[in-house]
Amino acid sequence: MDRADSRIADLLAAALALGLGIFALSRTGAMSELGAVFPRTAAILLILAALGLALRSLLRQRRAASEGSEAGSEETAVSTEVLEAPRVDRPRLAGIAIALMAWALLLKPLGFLVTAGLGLAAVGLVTYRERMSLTAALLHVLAGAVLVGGFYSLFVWVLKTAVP
Amino acid sequence: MLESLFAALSPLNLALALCGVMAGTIIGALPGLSATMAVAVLVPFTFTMDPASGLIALGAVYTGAIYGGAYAAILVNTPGTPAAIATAMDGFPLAKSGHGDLAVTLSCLASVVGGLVGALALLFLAPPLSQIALAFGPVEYFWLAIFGLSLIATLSAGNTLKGLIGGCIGLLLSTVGSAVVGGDVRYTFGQTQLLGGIPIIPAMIGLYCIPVLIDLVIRPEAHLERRSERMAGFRLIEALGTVWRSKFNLVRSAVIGTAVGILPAAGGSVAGLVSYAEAKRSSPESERFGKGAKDGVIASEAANSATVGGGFIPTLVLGIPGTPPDAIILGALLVQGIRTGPQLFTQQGDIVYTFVLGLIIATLLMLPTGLVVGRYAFRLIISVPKTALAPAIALLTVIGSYAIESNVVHVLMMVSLGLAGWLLARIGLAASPIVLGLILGPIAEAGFVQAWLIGGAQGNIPAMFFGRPISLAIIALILLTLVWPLVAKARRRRLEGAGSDG
Repeated sequence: MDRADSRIADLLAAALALGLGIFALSRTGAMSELGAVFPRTAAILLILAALGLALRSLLRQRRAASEGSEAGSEETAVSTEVLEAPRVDRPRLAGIAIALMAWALLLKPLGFLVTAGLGLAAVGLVTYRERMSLTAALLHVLAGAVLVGGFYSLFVWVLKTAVP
Repeated sequence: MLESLFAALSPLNLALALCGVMAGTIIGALPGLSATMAVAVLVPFTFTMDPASGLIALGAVYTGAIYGGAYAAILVNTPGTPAAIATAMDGFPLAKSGHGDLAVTLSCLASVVGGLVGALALLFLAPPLSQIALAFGPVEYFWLAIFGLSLIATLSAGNTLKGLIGGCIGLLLSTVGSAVVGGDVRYTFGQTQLLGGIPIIPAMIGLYCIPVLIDLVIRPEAHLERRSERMAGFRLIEALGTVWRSKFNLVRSAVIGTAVGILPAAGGSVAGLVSYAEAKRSSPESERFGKGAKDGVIASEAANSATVGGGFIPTLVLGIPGTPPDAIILGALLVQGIRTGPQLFTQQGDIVYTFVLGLIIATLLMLPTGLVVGRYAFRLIISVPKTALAPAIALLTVIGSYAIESNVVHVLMMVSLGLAGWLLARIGLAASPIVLGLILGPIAEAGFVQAWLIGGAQGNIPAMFFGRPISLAIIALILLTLVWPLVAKARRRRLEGAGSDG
């Protein structure tokens, strides 16, 4: 992570922590004195750390700016490059997030076996990039079936765990 | 003790130790899949076992995973686990120069010796320490929890403030649900599922495993490349000779690893790097480090394996995890109904000693497993495509978080925390401080509130917090931990300034 990238990350982290700290602190009003003392302390510490991080980031930015216009222009170029660089495969990110959330939400209504089959297929599809031969695809399906069947048998018959 | 030895040597426990070491080695050898993740995904399988067997299985997985990280570090310059970062520095140059087989054998021997030193420290240091810990009251536990948090803030890759933010987020997460003392319902937003709080193991599976899974899916590059040369043989005699010549380095690194493991939250990566730096500093051939020094591989591997036993000392004696995998094992112990703490050694000594002896046996089993099975397993796993690996990990995370209490809501929490964890990691907020805050939160809060109440009843709250000798010693350690990096930095600057003046 370069300096500009790191400063953006620091500011984002500080903003998030500050928001979370203020929210957590605001909710302690409804708690008893004994119940509020610990979350209140943690929230205040979080707010102070967030302010410290933001201040440090801004001071570093100011110091970097005062280092000279040449360095500054170089940094602007770097920061634009960082922002424009396609570093996260967003469709795949959205795909895996949706697949996992759906897996968790559908576990109860659809049951373990169906969601596991669908989940494995969804995660496999999101990960899929290179062309796969029919044999390789069949091997994937077979491995998935063995995995799901194995875990289902283990939980239901060996560990006697109730699965949906 | 003899009974515990027989129990540890029972066919079931031996089989669990062997399978655990093998499973750990395989998972640890895969880059990106850490020892923490190996323990996290396999923890639900231990819930129906008796506590000692479950602990032996998890200890063996942990031991194997720490060693397994060396394979990818040496052969493809990608540490399988963070603990193997320092191993890659000299292991890969050794492999490039045609000595990969020797480096792998060296790492196995060093791991076994390091693991044994850590386990023996656990066997002989934990009982006397537990006697000292009997004198601990609520306030000492409060300060110990703060000490753990201060350490992780300091160790957060040079970013104390972000470590502190992560720790505070974890502390706040630990307050969700009914309060430990007083029974206040906090931050549940009317959701009854949150009354019991954030479940530790699903939270840890989410925070540690889901970001790894996401990175595996969204990155186009292969998770493992074949880059190094073929391995010819074990070169065991040559490796034994090298280890013997490096015996001081080996023992020193194992002791460093044990000590680092004892410190709350400091894991194998810190131990590996510290012992590597020490080995380089004291070596007459320090210029060879980074270019294929065998001493570098030995130092890193002995130290990171020694953290396993060392890390169990605070985990079992105080209930404060020494390393991230210990945090998960601690959660597993709680699920098993075992209360860690000083009384554990007197009240459930049979379980603890069976586990420690089982850990020693697992470490010894690592020698044949690491040398033979690990090599074949490594060849096998590099042929597993990401399209098979990612779904398998996803399935394990879902099963792992569901199986603990057969609760679908836990799966949802695991996924949500995992997605949040990935986003937080993108802005530099690592999972470990959050997890540590989540684990230490209830300990700190219970200690704080109880000490507050006792101090209030005695009419002197400040004396309760700052007037007891053990508390003062822990407070001194906290201050030292927080101030030392600043002192070291100032000293470095002064030395650099003096150097440039001269």
